[in-house]
Amino acid sequence: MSPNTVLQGTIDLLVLKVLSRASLHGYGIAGQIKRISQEELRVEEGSLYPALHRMEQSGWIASEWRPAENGRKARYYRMTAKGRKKLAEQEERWGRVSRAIARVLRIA
Amino acid sequence: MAWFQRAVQIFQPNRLDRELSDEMRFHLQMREQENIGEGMSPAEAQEDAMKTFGNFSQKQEQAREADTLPWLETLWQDLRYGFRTLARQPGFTAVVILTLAIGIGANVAIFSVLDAVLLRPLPYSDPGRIVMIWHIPPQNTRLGSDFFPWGENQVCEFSSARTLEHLAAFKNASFNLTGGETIERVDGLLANAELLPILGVQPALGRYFNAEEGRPGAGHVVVLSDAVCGRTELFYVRFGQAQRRC
Repeated sequence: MSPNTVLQGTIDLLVLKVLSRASLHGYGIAGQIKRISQEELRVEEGSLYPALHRMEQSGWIASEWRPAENGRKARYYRMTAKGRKKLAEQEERWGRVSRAIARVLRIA
Repeated sequence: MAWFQRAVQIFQPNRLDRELSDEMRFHLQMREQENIGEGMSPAEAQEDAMKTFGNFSQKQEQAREADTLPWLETLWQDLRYGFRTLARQPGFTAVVILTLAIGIGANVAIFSVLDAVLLRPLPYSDPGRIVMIWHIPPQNTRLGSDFFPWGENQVCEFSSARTLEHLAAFKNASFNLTGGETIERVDGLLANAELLPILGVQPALGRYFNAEEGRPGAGHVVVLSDAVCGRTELFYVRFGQAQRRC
């Protein structure tokens, strides 16, 4: 897998997971995903924004403008209760799928 | 509420676009600063930031679609375009509006008549079983030119016909009303005792006349109508009933 692609649909899971620890702006979220995955998973950074806005419209995350660490105003996202439920659901699903794939790879 | 918000965003396109580009530009600037911190030249830092970000206007458009209802936005744009085009051609617009107005007006008028005449049932009990016997004389093909040209004997024959349960006859007539300060001419009907029972209606006050009173030579019995609004109303003006509002 080229480090620049993330499996379709997993971006929601990654974003929710990152936001479950702290509220962050888009740049911060991209950095966290990159850091935690040790550069293995790298989102094409611009793609984060359509995803963030879609998730906000779905009510999983909420946003507000406030000054960032460098003093400029940035849009900070935080997870909502609905998002927390969605995260649990997606984590569970992801676990099931990856276990299934691992089994197939072992046997086949 | 999310739907509502997305719909409302369409009407504040500038604010939405500004927020989106502010948010995404913040990202690019942060990346540039970090790149410079890692030792790149400003030009390199900017180029790398843009490369890792991807197509800026495409991402902005996609994010925008998530924030609005694209179909509603397109519809709104089409509507505005349509109105602008119409505003540029006032003559054409006037003709179109006039055509529509006349067309709709004519349709409404025709439908109102159809509704009253054909669609809505007559306000009688069991109107489907009421028939009207017309007579068209051979020399005159106008329907209803002669309402009931048969004599008493023939009426009795009709009455014994088994096709019809009851038979009522009526005839337009005018009367001179005297005895008051003025003499008035009033329009009315001559009718027999069967008429109102067949229609299934009763006078609001008093009673209709019976078969005995309907016989030739019996005394005159009159039922007054209050139904004709806007005309001299006998019932109220001459017979002292409180005026009803039309």
